[in-house]
Amino acid sequence: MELRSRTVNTVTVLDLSGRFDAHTASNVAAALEKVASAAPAKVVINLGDVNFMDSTALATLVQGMKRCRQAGGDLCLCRLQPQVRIIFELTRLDKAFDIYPSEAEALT
Amino acid sequence: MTTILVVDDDPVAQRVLGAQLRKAGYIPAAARSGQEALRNLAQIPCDLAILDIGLPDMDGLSFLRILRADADHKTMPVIVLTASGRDDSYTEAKAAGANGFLRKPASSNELIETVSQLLRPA
Amino acid sequence: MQDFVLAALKPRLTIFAEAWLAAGATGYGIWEDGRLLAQWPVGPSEPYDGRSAVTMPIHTNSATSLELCVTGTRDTAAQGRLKGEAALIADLIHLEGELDEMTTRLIETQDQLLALYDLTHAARSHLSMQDALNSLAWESSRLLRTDSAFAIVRMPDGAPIIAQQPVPYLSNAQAGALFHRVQAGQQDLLTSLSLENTDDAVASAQASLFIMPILVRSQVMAALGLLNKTGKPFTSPDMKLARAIAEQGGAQIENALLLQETLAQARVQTEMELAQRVQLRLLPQRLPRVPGLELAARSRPALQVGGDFYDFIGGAGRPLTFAVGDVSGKGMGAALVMSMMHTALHGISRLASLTPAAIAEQANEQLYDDFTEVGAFATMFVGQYDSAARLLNYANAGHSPVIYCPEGGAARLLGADGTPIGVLPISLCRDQCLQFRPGDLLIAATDGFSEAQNITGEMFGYERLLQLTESLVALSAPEVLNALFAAVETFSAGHPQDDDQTVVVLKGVSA
Repeated sequence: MELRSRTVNTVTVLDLSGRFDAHTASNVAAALEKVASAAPAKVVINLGDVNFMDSTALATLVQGMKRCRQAGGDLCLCRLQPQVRIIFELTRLDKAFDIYPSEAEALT
Repeated sequence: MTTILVVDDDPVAQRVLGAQLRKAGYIPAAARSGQEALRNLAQIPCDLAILDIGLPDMDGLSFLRILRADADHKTMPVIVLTASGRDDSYTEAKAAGANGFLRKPASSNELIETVSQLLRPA
Repeated sequence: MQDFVLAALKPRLTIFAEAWLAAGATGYGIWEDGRLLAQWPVGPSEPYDGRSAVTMPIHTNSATSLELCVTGTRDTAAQGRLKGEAALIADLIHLEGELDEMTTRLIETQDQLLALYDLTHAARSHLSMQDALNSLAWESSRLLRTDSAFAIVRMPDGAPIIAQQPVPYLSNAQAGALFHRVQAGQQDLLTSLSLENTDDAVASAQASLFIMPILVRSQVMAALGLLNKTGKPFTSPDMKLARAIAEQGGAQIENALLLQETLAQARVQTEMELAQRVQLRLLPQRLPRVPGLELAARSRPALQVGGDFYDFIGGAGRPLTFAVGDVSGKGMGAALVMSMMHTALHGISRLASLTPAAIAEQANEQLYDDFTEVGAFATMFVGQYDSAARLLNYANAGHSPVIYCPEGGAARLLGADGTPIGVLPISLCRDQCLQFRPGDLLIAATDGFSEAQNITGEMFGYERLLQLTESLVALSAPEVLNALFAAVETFSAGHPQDDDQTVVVLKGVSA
């Protein structure tokens, strides 16, 4: 899985693509830890090119979200593919995260 | 002109030790038995002796004790060589008056280091 | 002529000399470049008397000219006899030369062997790659008498490991650059370098370096380098010994790699076994008996524990309460989190008779901090059967698939309303209920079923599960259980089981 990091104003945007699972989660975890450890701890995760997520990936996002909120910031998601969207709905993780259809909306 | 007496009945060991000592700039003197060694010592001044424990006519440690009993050679540094793997050879040799201890075959580096250490002025 | 060669010739020459003297000659000597080396009879040397001397050259490869000389002999065959003696002496000198050459080579080989023994002995107790490299660099520097030595390995994951002993003179960048050069050139490198951090005045000179590539599993993955900070050159015997040490170092590096891989594998193996045992121990041993219900439950773990759990909580005199859930992640971590959940649920149920949503709320309360600490969460479905009212109360914290199929009706998913345990500090679950009459069927499963894959990678999916449930609604709970597992097994034949498959089946029966 590919991970790219950008900054838009003070928000970190992480672009992920490919399979987001137990094998690839640690990179994301490290990146999120880094964001959460410095103000303003705001991150938008672009899942537009992610076609698969497993429970380890979800746990990584949950952990990142908690850390960001602890540090006074937040983590939100955007551009979920349909099959990934379903996972969030089934587990009701759509109630834990702010999910946006586009990056622009996520950044406001 | 540091002369080192090599007491060993094995001709190959004599050649090897002789070549190793010569390469390091020492002058080896050869003796193939305890008796010959005592004779050589009476004629040539030697600065150090390397002694093989397994000598044919008198065992190396007896020779060492004779050496130490002699006023002229009481303080000459002696390195004992042994092919045996036994650890108690070391304590026996020390008790008999040896200053250094090497297992055969000795690497060139180890031999020369031991020799030069013992030849250093105290 | 060297002293020791002359000493070796003397016994033979003495025999010749004594024979000549006994036959009336006055003197016998051996000369080199006009200088007397030795003479018989032994005594103050006489000035050379050319008149009555017979001389014979000794033919050797040496640059000096050697001669035998007899004085005062009246033997007419003197020339011939002396010629024979000269030839013999020449042979002896030649043989001495060969013996000396052999001795030198013997010493070289012996030193090499002893160095390798030392190296192997030192390497025996090392477990990590860093330790192995430290030992290799240390021993190389010691055995070859250089100021310093460095050993570098590029691990399979690309990370380089460098060891410099006894003192590091090179920066990591310098060492890395040298490694790349021998790796590219695939051969030894003799070079010099200015040292960067120079504390002593001497080190400001150019250091001399000899670097050898090391083959590990047939590829240049490592190198051994020797450094003399004063620029002292490396002799040919040194380089030969160094190569032998480098090759031995390669074997040690391979061993260290193999050991690491074996340990990692053993660790994974042990972890898997442990996790499985934890999981098995915590699953309920018996099914409770409940009037109006038929129960069946089974968990089929995957090769690597996936964190599924199911449990019957609440005791006698209380309504049947059960939970089915799935912890995030796999392996030992998931098994441990599962055991935390098990403990929490049993603790909660002992206190009072709580509704499913209350149970979920309590569980979240108790476990939120710990789950945050370990970075895990758990989905959970809690069901509670009211036999008198024939009602099934439930709360669903992020869990699926849970399928309810009334007799003669359509199967539907009981969706989650709250987030999984450990995700948010507050629980969003609310109590829900549905009528559960004789003939109704409830299947509370984990996603090991819905996500089971066949050989083409297609998933079993919710549609199939719903249809399957409808087709099984007339069967008893145990029959439904078996049929579920059979269907998924058939579907996924040829594809390994990726995740635990767990299910609790409730079938309504007339009391």
